[in-house]
Amino acid sequence: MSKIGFFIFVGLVPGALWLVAIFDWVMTLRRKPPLGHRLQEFLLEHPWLAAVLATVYAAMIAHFFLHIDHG
Amino acid sequence: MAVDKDKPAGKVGQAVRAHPDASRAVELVVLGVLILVLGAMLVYGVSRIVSGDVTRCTEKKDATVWPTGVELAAVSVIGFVVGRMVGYLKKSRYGGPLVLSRRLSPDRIIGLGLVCFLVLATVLLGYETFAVFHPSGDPPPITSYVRCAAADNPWVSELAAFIIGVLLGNWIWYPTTKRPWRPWDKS
Repeated sequence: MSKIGFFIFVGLVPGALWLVAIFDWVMTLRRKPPLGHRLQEFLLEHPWLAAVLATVYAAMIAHFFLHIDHG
Repeated sequence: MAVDKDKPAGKVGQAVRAHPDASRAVELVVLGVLILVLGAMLVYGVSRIVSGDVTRCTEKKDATVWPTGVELAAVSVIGFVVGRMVGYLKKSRYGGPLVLSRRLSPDRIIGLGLVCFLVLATVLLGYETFAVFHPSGDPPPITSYVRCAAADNPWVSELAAFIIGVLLGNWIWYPTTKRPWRPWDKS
């Protein structure tokens, strides 16, 4: 593992979500439909995508947190 | 997007709709606190990367084995559910449940954002698969970074997992009575 890898990890996972959260907050502040509203609108049009997103999230939790490897 | 304003909301929904400015303020405060805490944790994480010795992470490879890993998974799921509850504030403020409108033209920006997210997730999972397939640990799998962070400070990692769960639950699991596996449902 390297420091560069850690920077990429921190930047891609919490960092990207942090930027999107700020976007959502600004949209709420400006009385515009927030991201969740727009996303749901899109996912209602494409319900299979909601199932894919939920599956990916569940798989990530299971793999990263519950993957036990003593090797 | 059509909104069914005639459909009666629950007690909380009615209270939220009766006080839209107050509910908006609560929503802004909740999201603002999450953003501030996550931002502080990002700064903390970067400072730990700069000051810490990442070569010692191999000593922490069992970090997410019981109980830390189970706790991380649990707080992620709890955060996801809490995110949906925060979403009720928005749903109630915008009226009733969302109703699918066939007249709606797809939002290209949201669509492109989702495509980018799925491409990124695919690339990361591909990298993870490649890394796990090589038992030598070179290149290191993303799991190693997660475990190292969890071992370095379990409380901060669990708080981060909770906040990420809240945000994702708020965005993805937005309250609606429409069931994704039954696209013909009208509400």
